[in-house]
Amino acid sequence: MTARSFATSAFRHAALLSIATFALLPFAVMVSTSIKPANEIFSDTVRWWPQKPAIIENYSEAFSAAPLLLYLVNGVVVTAAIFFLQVLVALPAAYALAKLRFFGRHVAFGFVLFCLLIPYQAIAVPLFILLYYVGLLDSYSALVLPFIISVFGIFLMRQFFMGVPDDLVDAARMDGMSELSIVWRVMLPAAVPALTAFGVFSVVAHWNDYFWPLVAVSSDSYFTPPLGIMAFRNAEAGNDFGPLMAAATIIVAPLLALFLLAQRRFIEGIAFTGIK
Amino acid sequence: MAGVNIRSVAKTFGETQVLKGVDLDIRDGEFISLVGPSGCGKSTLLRIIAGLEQQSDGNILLDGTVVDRMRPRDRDLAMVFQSYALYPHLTVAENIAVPLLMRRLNTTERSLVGGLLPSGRAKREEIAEEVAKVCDALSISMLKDRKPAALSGGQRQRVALARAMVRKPSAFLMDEPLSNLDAKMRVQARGEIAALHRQLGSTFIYVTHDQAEAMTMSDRIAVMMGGEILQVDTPDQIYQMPQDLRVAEFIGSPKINVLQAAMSENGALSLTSIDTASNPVHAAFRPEAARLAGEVEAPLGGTIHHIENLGADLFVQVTTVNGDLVIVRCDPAGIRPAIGDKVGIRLDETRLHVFGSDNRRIAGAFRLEGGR
Repeated sequence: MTARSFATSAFRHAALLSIATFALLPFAVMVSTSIKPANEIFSDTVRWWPQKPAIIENYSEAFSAAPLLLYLVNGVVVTAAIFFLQVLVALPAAYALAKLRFFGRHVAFGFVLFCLLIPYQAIAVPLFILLYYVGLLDSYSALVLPFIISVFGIFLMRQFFMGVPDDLVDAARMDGMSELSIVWRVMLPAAVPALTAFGVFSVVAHWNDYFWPLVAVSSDSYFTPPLGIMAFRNAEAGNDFGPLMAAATIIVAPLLALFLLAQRRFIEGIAFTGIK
Repeated sequence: MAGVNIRSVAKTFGETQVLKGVDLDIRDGEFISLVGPSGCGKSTLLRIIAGLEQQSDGNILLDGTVVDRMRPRDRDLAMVFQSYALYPHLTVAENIAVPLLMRRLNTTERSLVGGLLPSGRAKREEIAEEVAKVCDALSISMLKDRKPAALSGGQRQRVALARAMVRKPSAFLMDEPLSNLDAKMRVQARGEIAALHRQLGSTFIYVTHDQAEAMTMSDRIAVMMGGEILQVDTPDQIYQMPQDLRVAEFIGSPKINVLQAAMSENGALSLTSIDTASNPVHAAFRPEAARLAGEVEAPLGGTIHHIENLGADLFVQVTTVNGDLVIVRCDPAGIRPAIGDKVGIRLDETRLHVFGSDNRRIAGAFRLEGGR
């Protein structure tokens, strides 16, 4: 390695490191706070590792002060249901938009693109009123239903399906598959990398969503983790930051694990060869 | 087993007319090639027969029944695609089993729990047996557990063939199945497909742009151009008696020699003095219907500007006095001409084809006016 290329490489790494540090710092503070006893949190010296770690106290407090486990289960149920139903809707829709020729296809795709531009907060009030009339407020359905049609998912999968060779679809038709069989038996396995990407977006968005659960549910048996944290903070523990940060850490952990698992999948992809 | 009848099938995509009313009767058990340059509509015609595309007009009959409104799966045809179109996530054995699974198992038997049903299991075993048999026949048994990505081009082509064969369809449709193979593999696969046809006795409809494939494998060839079939005939007839100038030019390598000629009332042709007053025609002859001769007495003459030595044949390219290029086949064992030689060209008049200005063949015997 020449001196010059070493210098550029060192500079590049330094730049990346500083950005990464900046991004990770709040998380580090969160984890650090979650293991501190109350008297150390607001001490005037910055310590990453407390003098008297309060790991067990804080974490057991987090689980006992509020039904954190229930919130976690709620989070899993809601995000899993949303993702499953999103795929159920998005895949056939994306297939139709990418591979079938029908009257109004371009208009339909135009609508999909148009809907991408609407933030869901903008339609939160009508949605709320709608769910009120149907009588579904304050239930799992209220948390799941508004998200099952993901235009982003339809768009993403449609773009991916455009790259799947037409011959593969025609071969499936000759082999006797119905259009729906083609979606689930041919397109779905082919789309695993794209689905993983979409899954990460979807799960992260709905696991972390604070706004809609706040609007849609009121009884704490339906609380999702982010709502749970707030309930935790206000009602049960006051401003007890140790257990609060412990709860936050617990809530972030599953996402982190999921992302690390999916990341490998992302990068590997499945080689879409064997077509040519 | 089925014959296929195509009745004035037309296809338009928007403004462009891809097929202009094609008629073709394919006999049961026949190997027929649809050959033509790219964009001539041959693939579209094949897709219409398969039911993957809907014709704008006309009918398709399979075994005497009109199938225009039938979906591909109900037509009992199998297709081999140019890209092979194997399912990338399934192993070779699973790929080959798909057509059988889709037809024999009902929806519950195909589902995940369905594998446990006794009826489904019995059928699955039966299918596995048939898949094994086909794999043996095409000698791909050792590849059964591999994914398509781990196969070579030739192996993929066999798997695609096996997937088509396993169902024992009444007819095979092949869309340029050899064009992704290298030249050597292609020659080998050519022989294998022809042998397969003899063995199965099914109807094969084979689309290709390669006239050599069409010539070597087919019982009959349909030459297509511009959305029309120009001629349907045996390879010999297509080669020796082309009914259209475009057919003559498309079939045969090296290409047939085509010269402007003037025809007088009594059927005498002149290749040299093309005066505008008489009937202008095209005279065509294959390289092997001509031979080099002394410069003086031949009806055509020129200068040798290139010689292609293929070992068994010598193709001599002669630039005529009129500036046309004429290719003459010579025997390498005979006297070797040299580049730059001035030569005459003698033609076998019985193998001379004459085409009118409408490109159609003009029947009859012709006499060349000799000498210059």
